[in-house]
Amino acid sequence: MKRAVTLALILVLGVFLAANVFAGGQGDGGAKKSLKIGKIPITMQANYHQAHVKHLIAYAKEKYNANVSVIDGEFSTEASVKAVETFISQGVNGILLHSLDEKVNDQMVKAARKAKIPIVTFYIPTLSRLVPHLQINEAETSFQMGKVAALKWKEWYPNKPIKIGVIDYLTVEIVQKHRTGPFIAGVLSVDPTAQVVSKLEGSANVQKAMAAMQDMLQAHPDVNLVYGANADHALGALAALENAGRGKAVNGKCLTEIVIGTDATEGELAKLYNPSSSFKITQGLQPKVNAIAEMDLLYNCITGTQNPDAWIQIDTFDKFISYWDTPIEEAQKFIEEQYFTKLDLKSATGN
Amino acid sequence: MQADLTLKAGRRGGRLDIQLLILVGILVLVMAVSTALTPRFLSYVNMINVLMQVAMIMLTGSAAVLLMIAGAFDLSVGMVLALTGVMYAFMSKNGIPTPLALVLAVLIGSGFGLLNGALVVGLKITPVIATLGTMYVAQGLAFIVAWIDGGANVTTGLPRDFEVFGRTMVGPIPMFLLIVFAMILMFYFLFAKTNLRKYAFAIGGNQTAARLSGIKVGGVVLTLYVLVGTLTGFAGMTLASRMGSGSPKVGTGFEFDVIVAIVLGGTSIYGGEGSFLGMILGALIIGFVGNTLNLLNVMFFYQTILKGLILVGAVLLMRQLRRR
Repeated sequence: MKRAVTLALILVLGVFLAANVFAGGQGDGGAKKSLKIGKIPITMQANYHQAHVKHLIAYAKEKYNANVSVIDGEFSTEASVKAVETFISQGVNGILLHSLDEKVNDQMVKAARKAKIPIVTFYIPTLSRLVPHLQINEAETSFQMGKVAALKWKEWYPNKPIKIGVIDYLTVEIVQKHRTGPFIAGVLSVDPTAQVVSKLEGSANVQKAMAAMQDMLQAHPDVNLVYGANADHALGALAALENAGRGKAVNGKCLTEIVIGTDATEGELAKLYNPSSSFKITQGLQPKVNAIAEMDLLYNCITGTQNPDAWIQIDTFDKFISYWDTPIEEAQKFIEEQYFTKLDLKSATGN
Repeated sequence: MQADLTLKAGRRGGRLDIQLLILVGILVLVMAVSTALTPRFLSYVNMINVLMQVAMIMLTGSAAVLLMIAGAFDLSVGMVLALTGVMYAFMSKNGIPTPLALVLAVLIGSGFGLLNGALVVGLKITPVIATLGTMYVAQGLAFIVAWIDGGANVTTGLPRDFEVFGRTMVGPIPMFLLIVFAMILMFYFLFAKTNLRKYAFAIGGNQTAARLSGIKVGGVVLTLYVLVGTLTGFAGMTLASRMGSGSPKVGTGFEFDVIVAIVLGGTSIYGGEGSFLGMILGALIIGFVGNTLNLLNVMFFYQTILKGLILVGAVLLMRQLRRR
């Protein structure tokens, strides 16, 4: 009896599997087949990437009748490699890849191309420049942030030398190239005597950023331009400053330091537009703009309009946001459009 | 009972005293070298900074050390720390009075402790697997709650009194630090004056013998897990209040920080031997080393190497001591 039941179950399972294997080739009554796109964000643990994926899914469906599957890259090259392999085995029509390492990107891209699947990289390209790439040109806005911060400081406190402290992503080379490096260059373009007094690792973690900033304040209490390479770093640094009785401004004039961030998340903007906070400058990544651009690029590769094996770089840009130059209404519109937010900045900041 | 800061096991107490002396020596050496290398080390503000940074490790470690002495451990503390912080923020933001949200957040930690205990004691799942599982659950829940809130953190729309607990000063000392250290002392005396510590040592030394001698092994281990969860919940809530937000990304590696402090303090990972004061000293050593390296602007990568070397070196030293 047990054996009969077991055999019956195996038979049912076999029929089920066979049905699935053959079902892929069946027509569905003439309805248009939708594209299957695989998206690998570097992480889903950040506001920006969550919003990017949301925009991508909506846009892909609306414009191209494409269904997007997402596998979280978990900030790990291993997870990204597995994700690419999974999408290849699923036979997707195209892959959008945002991963950590240029060299490993080469391998993942080669695997996808071997399976004849078009693949587009985002933010971090292939080392050998193998396939089309979408790049956020953060260097320009980072430079602008550094310049504006330095100009403001010199305007308010011309006799206080600029001392830069950075809560950084030391493990991610491209951040040095696109964010931290250009930011410092922007400061130096205004004041060549400005010094970087400290660069500490934030590990994309607000708690670690806070602890690092506490130590930085101890070693360099005169630090006056504090740059966070992402929102968690900037907000963690600000928390440490606030805990130390700093982090303050009066009607937008910073008292002891200017804090500069990255990402323009709700949390950042709520502080930025608070006239009593020293957080005053950031750059807003634009998930909607980037999602549309990368999907368009991939679709062109799928249809052959763009050679999927030719290097081409398309640039998008971040939005520069400062308390002094960007009206709050503009920032409100930005976060509503880009981040699906329900936050009312004016209420949140007492404006 | 003679005043005794070492929670001696059934073995000769002298060895643990020597271990503690060595730890004190290492701590003094670290502080001396740090003072020589950077003039900003030995200042009141810096000492308070380090204490703030290691306070959560010590708080969770207060119960976790006994758990390890009893032969078990909890890998979920990092993610429970994150979840309780996120929940504290989420509840405060959504109409629950902040003091009540504070209590509920701590109870969520207790709940996870109970779950861990139930899995280990009730279902006989090995602690590594059980607490790894709950670690993943807590992590996922933390991100889901933040996502429900609309993003990757619970940062905006928090009530004004959200930060009160974490940022209020009592004179020159942060209030939360006073409360945390009061709790640590309270737990120390609780363990010292009750049978809980004796039972933990007995269970860690020989579980079968402990059971045969009438000790309710399951009940003790379950109690310890609940205590670890409760203290972790308190730590998570405190951290969120200090940061002014609930972030699912805090607590990464926290479980290892706690284990390192405990092991560095002379507690055996196999159970049966350990020291509460050793855990405190271990946490301080790691805290001061990290602090000094940051003050000296030493690159992060070297810091992690040095921490590994200190841990392995200290454990080798303890092992040499045990052989004598």
